[in-house]
Amino acid sequence: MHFSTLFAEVYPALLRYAHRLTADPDVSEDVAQEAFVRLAERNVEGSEQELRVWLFRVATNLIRDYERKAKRRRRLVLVNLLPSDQGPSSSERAERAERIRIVRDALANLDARGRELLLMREEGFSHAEMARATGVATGSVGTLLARARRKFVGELRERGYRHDSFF
Amino acid sequence: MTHFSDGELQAYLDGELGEKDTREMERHLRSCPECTAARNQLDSAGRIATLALTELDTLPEPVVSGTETEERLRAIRDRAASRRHRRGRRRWVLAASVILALAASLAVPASPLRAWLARAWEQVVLVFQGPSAGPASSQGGDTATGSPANPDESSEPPAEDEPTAATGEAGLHAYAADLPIQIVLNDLTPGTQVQVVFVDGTQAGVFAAVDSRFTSGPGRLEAWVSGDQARVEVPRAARQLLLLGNGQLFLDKDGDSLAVGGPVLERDANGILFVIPDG
Repeated sequence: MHFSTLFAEVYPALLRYAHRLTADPDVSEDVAQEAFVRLAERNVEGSEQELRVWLFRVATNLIRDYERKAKRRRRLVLVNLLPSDQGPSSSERAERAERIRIVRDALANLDARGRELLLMREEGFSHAEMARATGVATGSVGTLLARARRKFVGELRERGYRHDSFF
Repeated sequence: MTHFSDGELQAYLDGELGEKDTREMERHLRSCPECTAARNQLDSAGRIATLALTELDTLPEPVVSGTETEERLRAIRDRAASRRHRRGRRRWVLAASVILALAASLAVPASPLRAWLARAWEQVVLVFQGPSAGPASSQGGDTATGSPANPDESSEPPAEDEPTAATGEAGLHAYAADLPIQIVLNDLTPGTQVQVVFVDGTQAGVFAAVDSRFTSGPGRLEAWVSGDQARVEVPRAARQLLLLGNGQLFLDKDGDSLAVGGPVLERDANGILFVIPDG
């Protein structure tokens, strides 16, 4: 598959996945880009699906490494929530910022593997692909994913997360 | 009535069950209010999760076509090519250095290398093993006292990217690209330097002074280090590698992730230097 086609197909999802996991725009861009550099460096070959799993696996490992280091120098990453020069009013922005904080906190209370599975499923991964990307057994993905989803929603409820369509 | 687990219900909701299992699940759901309730809860949790997670998407959608993207792709390819080039150059420089050092040493009548070669024919200690044979070491995974490589007929000569014991060093190495491996260093005295070097290729290695003792077993290399220096070669391709020094975790490599513990003195992209502290 042509490199630029793969980039166009996978980069946005990979960036979104990394950003949801790290909450840091710079880190997520670095991670997504580094995954593609490694792909090019090592001349990895395969179908688009296989390469997508490979890229997510590399990004997941890079993020795990980043998080281990970040634990030692924990920083506030609730930044760049919304562009400041446009969009909704300040009260709407504050409300949105609060919802983001709640979702971020709820996500942070899951274990790392649960977070990764939850977010990969959101990117349309099958259970087998998630297993390959995270290193868990395929047969365990359903159980881990169900547990992660239940816990995530429980954490949201506890924090009073509200959205028009639910609760 | 036997109920389905959350994992099975999740697999059903995600369309992961085969035709037969799906039919069986649906038949069960029609007659089981508990499983139906659990299915509905999971389904609802999935939809709530999807909606809530979109709250986090505050980055603008990246542009993946046009001039800017072309430039970015060029930068990615350039960076990859430059890394490949550096890796290849390092290998050549290393090979050239070894050849030069050997040639220079052999030219001197009283050189340690000549003495070493003479001893090597008499001692059967260090055995290099090919990549397909799994964890390596002295034959049969037994104990070996340290000593230079032995040109034993049964052992393969090291490939170009295999670890190589320097003069005055002995050691073991093992295939580590896709098999977990543990490297254990014992008897590290205060002041001993443990140099971890990240290498290309597939072989992990441990090297120390010739009177050190080495053993190996499946997925394990172990050394009782004599002297004040040890060197550990860690392949960048190693999937799972643990390095322990005096029972303490020095290094935990899991795929591309690297966790470092122990008494680190220096660290860069090519390796890590540990120094055993006093006491």
